[in-house]
Order: sequence, then structure tokens, then C-alpha cells
Amino acid sequence: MNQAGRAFRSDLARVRGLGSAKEGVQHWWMQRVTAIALVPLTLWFVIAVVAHTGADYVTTRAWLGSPVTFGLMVLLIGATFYHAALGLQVVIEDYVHSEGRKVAIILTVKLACLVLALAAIIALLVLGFEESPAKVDEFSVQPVGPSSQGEVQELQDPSIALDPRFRGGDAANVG
Amino acid sequence: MPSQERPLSPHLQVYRWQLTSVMSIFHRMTGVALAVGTLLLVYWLIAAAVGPGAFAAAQEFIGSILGRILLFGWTVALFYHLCNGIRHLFWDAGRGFELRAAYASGWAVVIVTVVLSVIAWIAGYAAMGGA
Repeated sequence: MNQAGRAFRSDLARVRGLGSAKEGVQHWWMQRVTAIALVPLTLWFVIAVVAHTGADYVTTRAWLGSPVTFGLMVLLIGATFYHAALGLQVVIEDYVHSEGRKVAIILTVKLACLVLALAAIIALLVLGFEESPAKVDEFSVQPVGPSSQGEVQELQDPSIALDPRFRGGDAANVG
Repeated sequence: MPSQERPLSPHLQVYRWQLTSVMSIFHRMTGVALAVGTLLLVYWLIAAAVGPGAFAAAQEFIGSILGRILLFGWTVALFYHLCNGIRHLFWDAGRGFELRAAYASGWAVVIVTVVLSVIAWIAGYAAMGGA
């Protein structure tokens, strides 16, 4: 095994990373890991969306902005786009035979998956951290109606407006 | 491009379709369809984050005839890919490779997909009626 010239490296260390493309196992494995994660996440998502069918804006927003929904949605988005990028890559590799076009399409698809995932997560951050109109009344120190909220806010100290608990901007948009 | 005219396999013109191969290609097709469908999910989330006006526009599109057809297609695709994906995971674990088992699990996936899709849409309409 360990002969004079390579005494300090094990056989495993020498072959590690020398596979055909050096990343096939990782691709295969992560496709399975994300698939298993997506089984409960998609089931939860479908049940939750079905339960909120036809719900109005305030209800939907309160649901999407709640901490549990926020956490599960971020996991769902992450696993979905990771899984989609891996799966689409295999489909492209199987059907696009020109090497240059293949690389270009795979890069475009992966970039699109990344951008869509980030866009969804930014939207979820807004929904989770910008005060939901449904909760404004609950937490506002001054219980003012949605119509007068905008005017009241202008008169307040600007530092108070930065505190999300005092922000009523969205409430003014609700009819 | 192939340098020689080698025989292709499977030769589609003389190929006898089987449940197993049809389900295999459907797994890919539903996977690609679901990837496209994420566009609607992302649009819907952004609309909800933007405000009531944008959200109403998104809801109007989803509630339209075209929106409902797309959503129904994605419901079926999602349940199919989910169920058949679980079937694939069992194969990855080395189980269910016998011909009889592969056909039994295949038909189970088809039936469960139809049942879950119908249940989801009945429940959705029930939720709308109750609201």
C-alpha cells in the first residue's frame, strides 16, 4: 500500500475527485435528498393552498407572513429550485448534443432557477417582515383607521416610522 | 452527429409501448412542466408581496379559464411526479424491480395521482364555497 514515493497519502486520498466528471455522485445524491425533502413539503403546500382557495388578500398575506409558513415556504422554494436545476440539467444533457449549446442552455437554466428562487425568497421576506395589514390593528399603539393612517404617519417622528410595528403603509392600500 | 448509421434503440416506429416506459417519459415531462409552473408560483408570491392590486390581478388570472386549466394540469403533474418520484426512490433503495412489482407500483401511481388530483380540486372548490 504505502510505498516509498507516496507514503503520506492513502489510496482513497489519491483517487478522490478523479471520477469521470468529478461531480456525478453529488448530483445524483442531492437530487434524492431534495426529492425526499420535497415529499412532505409539497404535501403541506398543496393542503395549505387548497385550504386558502378563494381567501382574500388580508387573509392570504397573514398566512404567507406567519413564521411557520415563511420557514416552510423558504425550504420549499430552496428544495424545489435545487431539484429543478438538477433535473433539468439531466434532461438537457440527454437531448442537446452540441457541446457549446448544451453548456449555454444548462448555465441559462441554472441561472434562471437561482433568480426565481431568490425572487421568491425576497417576496417571502417582504411578506414575513413587512407588517401584515391584518396585524396592524393588533399592534398599533394608536388604533387609527386605515383611511387616516397615512396622514398620521407623516406627522410622527421618522424613527418611529422605521419600526415595523408602527408602519401602517399597507393598511392604507386595503379598500 | 453519429459518424456511422448505427441501429437506434428503442426504435420508436416498431416499439410496443409499455406502462413502465410511458411512465418513465411522463416523469420527465411532468418534471419539466412543473419547473415551468414555478413561474406562476413565483409570480403569485411577488404579487402578494407587492400589494392588494397586484394580488387581485394574479388571482384574476389564476381564476380565469386558462388559469384553471393550467393549474389543473400542474396539480396532476405535481401529484404524478410526487408519487412516481417515491416509486423511483424505492428503486434507488433496490426495491420493487421485479416486473410484477414495477407494474403494480406503476398502476398504483396512476390511480393515486387521479384520486389526489380530484380530491384536491373538490376540496379547493369546497373551500371557495365556504369562504
